[in-house]
Amino acid sequence: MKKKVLLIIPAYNEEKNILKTWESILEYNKKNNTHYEVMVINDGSTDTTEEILVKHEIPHIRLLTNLGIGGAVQTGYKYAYEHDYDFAIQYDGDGQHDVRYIEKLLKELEQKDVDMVIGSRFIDKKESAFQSSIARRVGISCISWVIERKTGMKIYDTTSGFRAVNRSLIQEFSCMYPTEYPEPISTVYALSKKYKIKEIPVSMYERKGGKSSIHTWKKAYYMINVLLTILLMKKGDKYDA
Amino acid sequence: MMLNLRLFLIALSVILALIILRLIAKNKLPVKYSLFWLISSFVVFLVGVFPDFIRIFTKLIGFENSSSLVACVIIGLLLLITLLLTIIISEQKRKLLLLVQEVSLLKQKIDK
Repeated sequence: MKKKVLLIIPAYNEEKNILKTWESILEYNKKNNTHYEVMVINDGSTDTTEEILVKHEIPHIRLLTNLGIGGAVQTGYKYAYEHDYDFAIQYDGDGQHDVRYIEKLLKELEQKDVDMVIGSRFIDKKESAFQSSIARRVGISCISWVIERKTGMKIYDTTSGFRAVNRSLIQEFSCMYPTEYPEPISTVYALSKKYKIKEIPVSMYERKGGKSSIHTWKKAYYMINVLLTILLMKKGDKYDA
Repeated sequence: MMLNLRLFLIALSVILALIILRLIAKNKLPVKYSLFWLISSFVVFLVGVFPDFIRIFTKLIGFENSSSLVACVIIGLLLLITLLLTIIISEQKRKLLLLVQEVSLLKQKIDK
């Protein structure tokens, strides 16, 4: 039986990118005879994102207020859980991710004993042209080191927002998901609950438009927040970053 | 401790307690959140009535005089109350998040 796949695309003020992202997925589906379904979570955008979503009949949920990336993505997991999707993929609406790698992620999930597959920029450096700034890479490897100490598992691209999960993790994440900086924290959470995680190399692009969700002065706050949460997390603990 | 300060503390605690009790009676403050305030005002009351009690602590902790200890105790109580408020806000935030998600999901279902 064909597995039901949902792409969860959180979008906050993505009027410049969201249509391109949608069209690239449609086109890919048509060419490759795949049936990736899409659910855009409009996280209380204040620009014309909502108008674009309505005009082009892009499936979406409009959040009543801005919940932040974690709250938005969790809404997607809730939708995926309610509508019996087998796999859910987090996919950025800003053009950083490449739709062609979805198949790779899914293959890992389908074949092996794996619950989450992370699309990683750093496993195979040749694979990805975009490697992010030095400061950010230092931050990422710092988080990576702490996660390894904590869980015994080496995750290279801890902040990658390109990841696929199976039904059990869809259920887990729909019940609880960190609100502020969810990627590294949800990863540790999944590991602490004995879920299996695998990283595979993918290529990412630099953002095509709009701003990244992490600005300069917030970087220090980001590091402190994430590291503290990870260090204080107990096995199978509830958390709220 | 000066008599003036003692009278001030007693008056302060009584007024505070009356305000809190009135708020509970008017249903503007649930008992759950008022208890800490009542206990605080009781502590202040005790300090006003039994200054000897505070004198022992003043020596023990190493304050120069009792009035600074009293100020310190009140600041401590305020800090605790602020901490409680932060905890309550966090709880509210989590509940609000759930609510917004559920309503948004329902709206999407209806509009489809």
